[in-house]
Amino acid sequence: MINLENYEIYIIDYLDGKLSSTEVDKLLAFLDLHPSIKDDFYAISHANLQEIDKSEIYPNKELLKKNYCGEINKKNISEYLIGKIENNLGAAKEKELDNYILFFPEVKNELDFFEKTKLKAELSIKFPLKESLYRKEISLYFYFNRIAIAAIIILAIGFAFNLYNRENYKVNNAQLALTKPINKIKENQILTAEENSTSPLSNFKKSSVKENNKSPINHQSQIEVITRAERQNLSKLKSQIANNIESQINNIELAQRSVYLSNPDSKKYNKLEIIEKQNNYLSPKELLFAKIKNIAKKSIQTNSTKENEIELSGSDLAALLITGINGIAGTEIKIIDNEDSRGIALGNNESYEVSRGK
Amino acid sequence: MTVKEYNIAVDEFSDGLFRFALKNTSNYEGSKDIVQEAFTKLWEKRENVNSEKVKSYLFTTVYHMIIDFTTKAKRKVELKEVKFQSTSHDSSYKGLSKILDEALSKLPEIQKSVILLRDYEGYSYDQIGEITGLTESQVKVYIYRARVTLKEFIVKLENVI
Repeated sequence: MINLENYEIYIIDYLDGKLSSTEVDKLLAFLDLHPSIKDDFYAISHANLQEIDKSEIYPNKELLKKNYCGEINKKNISEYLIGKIENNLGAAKEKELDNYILFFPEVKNELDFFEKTKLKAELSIKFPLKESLYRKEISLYFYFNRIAIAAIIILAIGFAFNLYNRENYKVNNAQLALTKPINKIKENQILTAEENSTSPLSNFKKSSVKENNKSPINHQSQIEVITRAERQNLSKLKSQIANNIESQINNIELAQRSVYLSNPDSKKYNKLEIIEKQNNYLSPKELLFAKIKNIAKKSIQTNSTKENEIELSGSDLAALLITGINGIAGTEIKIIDNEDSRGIALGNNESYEVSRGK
Repeated sequence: MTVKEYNIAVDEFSDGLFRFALKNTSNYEGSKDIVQEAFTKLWEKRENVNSEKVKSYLFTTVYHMIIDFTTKAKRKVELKEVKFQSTSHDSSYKGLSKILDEALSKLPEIQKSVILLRDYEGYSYDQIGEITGLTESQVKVYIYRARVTLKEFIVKLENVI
């Protein structure tokens, strides 16, 4: 029987779910008879349930759920730990790893081991040959100095060559024991010979002068760009002339050798030795001339029709130079003389002579 | 790059390159040659190398020379004593350094190279990829494997101690 003395026990049993349905009905009937008690009953029962739900929150509930294994587990914990020491974990993953370590403290030891795998450079190890690697800067002053020196040398050589070429000189082959006097050809004779010449090159030169309407006594040379056809024609002319010159040079050399053979002192030499001996006897001028001659016979133009006659002049040398430049650069530049200023080199059985032109 | 920039590169990078080569090859003389040759190549190509990318150029060159060296020559342990003369006064680190050296020597060449570039020079994954010709993902994988191997080696040794 529920009365004012024991109704609280019935209410507690009701909240604990221990009352039978008959006892619940009796309790509710009692509360209907006592409205003040009924109000307290409902207030107490609701308040208790709500307070418990709100205050009792488990802070790491997610870690206990089964689906947590998808984020950090024993299989992927190394990735998280390495990511942490590599500093490439995002903030969210970093926090997650920290929470994981709270629940699994043994992971902290793993993290410490991974921290130790970070290598530190041993600064005591130095490259021992560093000094040998340094490079020195080349001063511009010295650089330009070198260029200036080279330019001066080139100018000096050019000036000396110019002086050398200006003077008529006679190569006396005294060292070759030649006896006959040197035949000096006068400039008038050379001019006459060239004017009377019927060689194709002579004609070319004359026509060139006419086309340019310039006096033959004009002391300036002119550089013109000629066509490929003209160049080919010139090449043919050159080759014909070069053949003539080569035969003339051969004659000169044979003559010189014969002189040697006629010399009693030279009888003890064979042919090869004579040639060597001859070379030994050549003066620097003669050697220079011989070298130019060999080049000239392949390249330069001449209008000479005389036997043993070789023309050489400053313009020929310039022509040689231009030929070389054309060969290297692929240009078609040619020097055409507007002046008949060629020098001449004559050779016969005994001597040869080089003279400059006008 | 100018002569001045080249000489600055010698000052700044030759030691690091030498350590990198030495740790990879374990050959003192060979490492000297490698560094010298790398700088010779840099000097020859100085007109084409941007001064901002000198370090990357040098490490790339040295890396390839290390590969050539290790594939051509038989590996010899010629580490000089200086290699282990640490400047650190931390005795625990000194011990760890030796352990790591030993562990490092057991790594495959590529793992060793990438982890040295990462830890010694602080290169990012993509920079290491540029030097070694690997993708960024490959670099990450090699570094991961290297760290796991090093960690296991340390754990084993500490357990023994």
